[in-house]
Amino acid sequence: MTETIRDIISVAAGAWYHLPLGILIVGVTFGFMPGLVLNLGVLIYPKDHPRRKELIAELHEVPYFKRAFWVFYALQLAVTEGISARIDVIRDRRFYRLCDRREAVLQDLNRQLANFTGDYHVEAYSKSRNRLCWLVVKDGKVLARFVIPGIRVHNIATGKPFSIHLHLWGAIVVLRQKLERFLLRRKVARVRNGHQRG
Amino acid sequence: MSSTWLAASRPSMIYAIYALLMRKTHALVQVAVTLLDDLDGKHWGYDTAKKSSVKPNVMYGIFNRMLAEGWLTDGWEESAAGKKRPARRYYQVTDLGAARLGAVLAEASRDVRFASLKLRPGTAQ
Repeated sequence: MTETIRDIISVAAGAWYHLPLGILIVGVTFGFMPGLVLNLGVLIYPKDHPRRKELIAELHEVPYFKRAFWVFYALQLAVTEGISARIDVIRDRRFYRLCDRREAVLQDLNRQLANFTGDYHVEAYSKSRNRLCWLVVKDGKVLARFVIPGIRVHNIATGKPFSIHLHLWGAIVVLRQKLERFLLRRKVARVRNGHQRG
Repeated sequence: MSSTWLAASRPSMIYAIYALLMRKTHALVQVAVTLLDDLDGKHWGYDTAKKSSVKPNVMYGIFNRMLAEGWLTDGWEESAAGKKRPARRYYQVTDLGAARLGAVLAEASRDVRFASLKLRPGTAQ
């Protein structure tokens, strides 16, 4: 009997010895960790996403012993919702960069074209691996450089695209790219090699 | 408020058709009951999840759809200065939302899948 009581006392003393550690573990699990994990978890959302602030603010309303579960569900939400929001942001950013780049190229082409004629402007272009280095008029005079095949050049006054009777070889090439490719190469080669007429 | 809900529970044909477009789940119906319980009040994330017994991750997905459809509007708490926490986001039911949530409940009350739920506002589980 005495030994049993002694055993109970020793177990209680041992438990008492471990009590601070237990309090620390409980405090960390239910007090400190949920906030830390949630603050890290909401970083999945893009920077200005309202859910970031919202989830952190709501955590303060959750009772301490339910916070671990709340954070679990919030993380689940952050993974599903946040990743798709991130993908949207990346897609938008790429789209706007592409728009900016295209706009810059158009502006550049129009600026080059405006040096020679005010009647035409470049409306759009399409990407191509074949890069035309020279845009020449019929008499052999170089109008502009670094024009990309696939450009549609429209007359500002009429709104119509270039037609074959106009003087820009480049525009003819652009409009009739497949038919005139062979001719264009010969013309461009001649211009490059300095065999210009006129 | 009960008269508002009664009015909302008799949706026009367009609202009824529209309500069919949003997939009705137990979670949606439970959230609808909770929102219609306090039509003019502000609804907070954790409180709504607790009242409607819907998991927060599911509830926020439903809130997103409702915001996109214009059933809810959102805003940020103004008086959080002395509370040692960031401002909370609240949600309010719009007139459109009230009508359509009523339509959702009216549809759900006729659906056997939701027979186990208490569908009248004020009886949220």
